[in-house]
Amino acid sequence: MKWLHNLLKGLSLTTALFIFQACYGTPEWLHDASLQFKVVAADTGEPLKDVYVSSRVQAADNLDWIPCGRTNEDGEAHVFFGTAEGQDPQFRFEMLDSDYQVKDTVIVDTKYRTVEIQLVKAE
Amino acid sequence: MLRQPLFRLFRANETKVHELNYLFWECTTRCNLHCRHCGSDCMTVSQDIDMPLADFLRALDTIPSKERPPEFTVVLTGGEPLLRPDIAEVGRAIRQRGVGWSMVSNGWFYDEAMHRKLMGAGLGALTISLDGLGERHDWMRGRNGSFERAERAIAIAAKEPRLNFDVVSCINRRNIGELDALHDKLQGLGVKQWRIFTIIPIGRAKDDPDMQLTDAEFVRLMDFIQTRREAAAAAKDGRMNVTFSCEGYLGPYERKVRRNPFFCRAGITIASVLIDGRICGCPNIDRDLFSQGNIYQDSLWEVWQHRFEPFRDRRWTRKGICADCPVWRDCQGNGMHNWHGDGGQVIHCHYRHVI
Repeated sequence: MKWLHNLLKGLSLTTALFIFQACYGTPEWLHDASLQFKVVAADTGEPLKDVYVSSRVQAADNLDWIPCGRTNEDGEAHVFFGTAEGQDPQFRFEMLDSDYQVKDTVIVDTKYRTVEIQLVKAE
Repeated sequence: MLRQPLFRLFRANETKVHELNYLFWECTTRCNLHCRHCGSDCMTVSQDIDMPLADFLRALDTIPSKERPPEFTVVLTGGEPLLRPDIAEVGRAIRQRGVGWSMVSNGWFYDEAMHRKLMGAGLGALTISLDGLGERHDWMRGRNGSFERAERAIAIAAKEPRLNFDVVSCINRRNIGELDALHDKLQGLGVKQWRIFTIIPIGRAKDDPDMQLTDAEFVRLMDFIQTRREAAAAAKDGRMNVTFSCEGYLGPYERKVRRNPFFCRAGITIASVLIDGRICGCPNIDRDLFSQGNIYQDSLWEVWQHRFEPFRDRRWTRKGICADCPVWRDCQGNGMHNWHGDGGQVIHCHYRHVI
């Protein structure tokens, strides 16, 4: 009965029963988060294509930026990224071979939504 | 006293509901290694071509999104999934559908660049195989250098906070003497979870006597795991969790060598799409005996909903050595992957090792 299944699932004491891995499979998938970015030029508001988006979980020099997307013709990129407790994800936006400056930003609220990013041209 | 009867009720309910939350995709049967125990007999060049991603996605899309629980995962397996040049594209396409994905790998190709690529594609869980130290692992895997590559992969994955990662080891007659050393090695690499298997006599392991533990060796393995688990529970210092796999019913060792009682979930919460499109339980289950349909003729979802009877009603397993077994109610004929060939009888009984 589905209601019993859902009830047991909802009880914290019995979640262990649902944490499983098939014999020759993997452990449970760690949930990550996703966001939609829209990258535009700060001066004109025009969408920017081929902006590379990468992420990392904390401002630590020993952690690499992980590429997680590239903007399309509309300046949009739907990215997935890992989160870690107590650490806000950082994102980097970089348009290669362009006048636009690299932009780093921290996202505190990782609830799925569209976030606009403006890139500024170097002086 | 009540725990086991309650668990039987829970299992019966899970079977009735059969919520699909774990879908293997056998995305290739090519492999760069030649493991002695390979149940799939994978080769460098396979007679099966890799299934196009689009075909798998069409099958995945037959599952209504409202029927997919939040923990629904696609598990990429093979062969060696990293032999697919489009592996990152595969991961992203699955993730784009709001579905998590994970992968089982021998680790040969898993370097920093691959790790970054797969994390960026939404990889959420990973399992790497290690079957001994140094030459012993190489021997098992059929290729020199395998240990070095696996060790590198393990070191990379173990330090990634965004990955649920474990190492699996298949214990056989050649490596059972290395349990403590393997344990220390993995703990030293930062591994948090170590899952241990034995090898059933199928595929390339079928006629290899080195692959099958004796009863005494099996009990030794159980005692090792139990001791390590008890020590970790007592110490509470975050040391590596050692667990036996879900491969079979263990009688007196139930709940001592793994957290949950035995419950073969193949066809109950687990399905697979095999290399040729056949739909089955786990990929190591005899596909000629137990396939339930094919994605090229059937809807994966419809097959899941309306077939899989042998998986959901296991009374048919009451034959051969299981016919009069006193623990059948809890064992139900052992894990489904222990039935091969003509299906006349289970080919391997874990319980008989320990009684």
